[in-house]
Order: sequence, then structure tokens, then C-alpha cells
Amino acid sequence: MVIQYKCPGCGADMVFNSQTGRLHCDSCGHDEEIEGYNTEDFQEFEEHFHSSTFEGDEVNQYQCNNCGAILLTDKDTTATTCSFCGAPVILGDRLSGALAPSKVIPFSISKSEAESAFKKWCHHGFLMPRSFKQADRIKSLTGIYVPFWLYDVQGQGEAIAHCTRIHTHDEGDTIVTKTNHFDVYRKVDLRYNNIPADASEKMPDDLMDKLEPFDYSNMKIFNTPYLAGFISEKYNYTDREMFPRIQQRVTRYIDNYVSSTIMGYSTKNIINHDYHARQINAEYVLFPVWMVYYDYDHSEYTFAMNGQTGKIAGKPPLSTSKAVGSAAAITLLLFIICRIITVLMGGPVLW
Amino acid sequence: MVKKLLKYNIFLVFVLFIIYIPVHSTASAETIIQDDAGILSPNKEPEIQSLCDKIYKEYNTSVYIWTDNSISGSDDFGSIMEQFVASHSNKDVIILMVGMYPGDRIYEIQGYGTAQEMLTNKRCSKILDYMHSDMADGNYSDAVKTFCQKAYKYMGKPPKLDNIIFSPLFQLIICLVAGIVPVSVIAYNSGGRTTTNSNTYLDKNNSRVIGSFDRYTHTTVTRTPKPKNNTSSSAGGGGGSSHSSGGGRSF
Repeated sequence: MVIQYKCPGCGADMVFNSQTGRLHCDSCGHDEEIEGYNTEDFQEFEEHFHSSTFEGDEVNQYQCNNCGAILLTDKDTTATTCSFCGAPVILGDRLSGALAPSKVIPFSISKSEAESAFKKWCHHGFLMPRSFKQADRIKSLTGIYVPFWLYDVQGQGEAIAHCTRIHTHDEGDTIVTKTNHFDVYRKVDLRYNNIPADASEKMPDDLMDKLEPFDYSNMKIFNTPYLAGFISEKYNYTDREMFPRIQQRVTRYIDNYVSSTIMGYSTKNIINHDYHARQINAEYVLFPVWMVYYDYDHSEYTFAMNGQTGKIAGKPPLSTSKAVGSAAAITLLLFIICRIITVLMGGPVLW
Repeated sequence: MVKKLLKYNIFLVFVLFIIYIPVHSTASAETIIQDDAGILSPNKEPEIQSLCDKIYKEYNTSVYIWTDNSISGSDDFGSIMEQFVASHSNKDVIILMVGMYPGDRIYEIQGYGTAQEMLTNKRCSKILDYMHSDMADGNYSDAVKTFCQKAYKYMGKPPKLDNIIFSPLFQLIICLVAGIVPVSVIAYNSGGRTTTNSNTYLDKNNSRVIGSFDRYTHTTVTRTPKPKNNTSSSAGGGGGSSHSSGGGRSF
């Protein structure tokens, strides 16, 4: 099922407007509220579709309702634009049943804002080559709703640590160091909510992790109009498949928490621990990401921008000469300061 | 008694040589090189002389270099030199004495006046160490040259600056690290930083410590002697004048 939103005023295609949070018609300027938007058709379709068999990886052929062209999509696409007429289309059957996201964070940053924010970021790159900053070669800027799992996790842990409190005092010509040794035990019961993990195989995990945090206060109940005008993907990994990543992360969090509860000691050394992370709940959500593809020096660089907060991640090229020059300048400056202090204390300029 | 007489004779001869008839010595400004043992290479003496003159010129401190075949490790260098310094107008003096008495060879450095403050016992001892291999190998001129170079260096640097933190090499290394680390951190973070931590997703209302104890087990006590301050320049001496000294080295 291909969903397209037509303007009730002029019949043109409507797209989601990140500024107003509404559906917007570029032709006549009409805006439509999304919350409470009439989704009867889709719900009807979903009820019908949910009862039929569907394989997640099945490749269906879709036609644009506007021009009738075959939509070129890969198996993970849930929203795109018609490559012939440019109409925004949403593939309803890939957003239903087990593939229906429960929530979505809509884009807050428009394409033009994303472009200028990215250019600004490039200009402030301290170690980026000047030619990279000036190149201005954004190959493409694509707004993508990336599938994430949001986990609620219970973390339990026990730890035994050896801690010391050290006191020193002088006795004549002797320094006496007194070390009191303690066995310390902690048992914690922790709850972590909404830890995100991207569930798309196309998106590099480290890049997506760096886009965090997202502001959940602006998270909405999923509704297809939010996707109009953007690319959207469905998840490739289930919440169970993704959980080991979260487990690793929560284990680290538990360790930090336990460590923070052991206070008032000179030294602490956790000698034994047992940490467990248990999944309580997982929600399928879509988060907004601007993907920037940038051509420079015969290579393509990929950057990702949080479509809600504007935070940018991605490895830019670095100028070796700038890095070496900066390190040398700092070294020289500090060395001159050191020598000035030495000379002021009566020492020689150098040797 | 015989030894005492011998000692004073040595002193007398030395004073006569440097004041009246410096037959085997070279001198300029306040520098005196008295090579009675004939161990210094004549063609290196001008170089040594100029180094000593440099010390006098910049620090107004005279350098006396005295070698003798009859001086041995059993002689009381301190009192001999103190009397010598007392008889001389410039009280800021660095003395290098080399005793070549067969079977009991020794060399020593002493500092008087300003040199006593600048060439502390520790520094004198260090210079003796720097000279030792050349002395043992018979490269006396090179050893004396080293003495002059190190004495010049130490005269221009208060002893408190001997701490490693004032060493140019140490400072350079620290500054290099201080230069490389922030640039490396910037380079590392150029791809974006992870700004979430263990508290970002923690539900504080539903998280707590459910069991804990802090049990004292035992106490250990260690005693270490207080580190001594080695930059003090006081040293031996008699006859009314104190001086710094490296303590003498046999070779």
C-alpha cells in the first residue's frame, strides 16, 4: 500500500514541515495538523494486512499514485520519494504489524538548516584541511528516519572491593604512613529507561551512538504523515538480536554506578563483581537523522546529523601539517614560558 | 711532624709560584693554572685558560688549577686551600687540585665565597664524577676541560634550579606532551564525541543500593625517613673559612 498525502485545498502532495510540525502544502501553503490526523484508511489497511501473511524481507513492487511509475526502493525502505515525479510516498505495508513503529521523533531541523549547520561545523574544524572547509561539495543531504530500539533495562549487580584509607604523620625524622584496609560490598538494583540502539544494518553503530542523546520529551506516537518527504527505513535486527549491545553498555553503567557508591576511601579496587542486565521492554521507534555525503579529494566522506538536536558525527579528513604545526606551536609557547620562569628564578636561558 | 712540614712546604711553594715566579704556570686575569705535575697538554692549556677566564669575567670568580706530584690523598686539602684563599685578594674562588703522588692519586674540587654557594657539595661531587673516566684514562686535559665547562654551567645556575623540573630537556619533553595531547584529543574527537554517560538513561527513582557493608579488616604501618635537602652548601673546612667540596676522588 502506497500512502501519499494530498492537500485538501489544491490536491498537491504535502510533506512534513520540521518548523511547524505539520503537513505542509508547498503549492498553496495549506498546513494540516498531524496529531489526530485521519488515519482511518491506513488503520483499515493495517487490520486487513495484519491478518494476512507477510515476510519482512519480501520485495514488493510499488507504483506511484501520481505518475504511475514503478517506485525504486530497496527491501528496507518504508518511505521515499518517487524518482520520476518527486512525490513523497510511504510504503504502508512495511510499517504495519510487527514493523509498525510505536513512536517517532519528528525532524526539527529542516534541510536548509542542516546544510548551513554542516557548513558551519566544517568551518570550525580546527584540524580540517583548509581546502576541505572551502570545498563546499555536499554531494547529497538526505533526511532519514532511522529505526532504533528503545530499551528499558533492569540492571542488577554485586561487587566486592578492597579499599584503603591512608593517613600520614611525622614522627621526628620519620614519615609514618598508616593504611587502614576495608572490605567493601555493594549490591545494586538499577533501572535504565529508553536506551537507544540503532537497528539498521546500513547505519554504522558508532556513528549513531555519537548522535545521542535525543530529546524524548518531543517523541510522538507514530503516525505516517511524519515520514512524508523523508526517507525511512525499517529495522533489520529484532530487539532480541540487538540486546547484547545494550547488555554491554548497561554492564558498564552498572560498574560506574557501583563505583560511585564507594566513597571516602583513598584507594578502591573492585576485585570481584557480578553484573546482570535484563530486558524489560523494547519499543520500535524512528529517529530523525540527516545524512551528509561529501566529496573531497577523490573520496566520499559520510557524516550524520541528529535531525532533532543538530549534533554532528563523522570522521572528517585531518590535515597532518595543521596537527603537527599546532602541537609544535603549543610546545614552543609552553617551553618559552617555562624558560622565562627559569630565567626569572636565576637560571640560564637554555643550558 | 715530617708530613705536616711537607704540607706547609707545598703550600708555601705553591703560593710563591703563583705570586712571584710562576715558572710552570699560565695565568691571565684571575685564573691560575699551576701544572707542577706536568700532566696537562700544553696545546690544550689556552683553551682551558679561556674557559677559566670566562668564569672570572662573568661571575668574578677566580679558578685555580693545581697539579702536583707530591700531594696525596692523605693531605688535608681543606686547610691548605683555606690558607691559600685567605692570602689572596679574591675570596670567590674555585679550586681544582690534582695530587699525582704515586699510588695515592687524588683530585678534588673546592668552592669558596660565591663559588661555595653555587658549587655545592653535590655539584662538586657531580663534576668529579663527570671527570672521572678521563682522569682514570690519563686524559687529564680533557678532564680539566670538563671541570671548567661544568663549573661555568653551575656558576650561572642557582642550586635550587638543579631540580629536574628546571631541566630544559625535561621541560621540553613535558611541553611536547602538553602540545601533542590536546591536538591528539581534538583529532580523536573530530568525528564527534559520545556525550551520554551512565546517568543519561538512569531512572533515579527506581535505582538504589539494596545491600552494602564497609568492613574494616586491618591496618598496616610503614615508616620512611624524611628526604634530606641536599642543596645545602655547607661543608668541612677549618682555619676560619668554610668551603664546599666534592670530597675528593681517587683514580
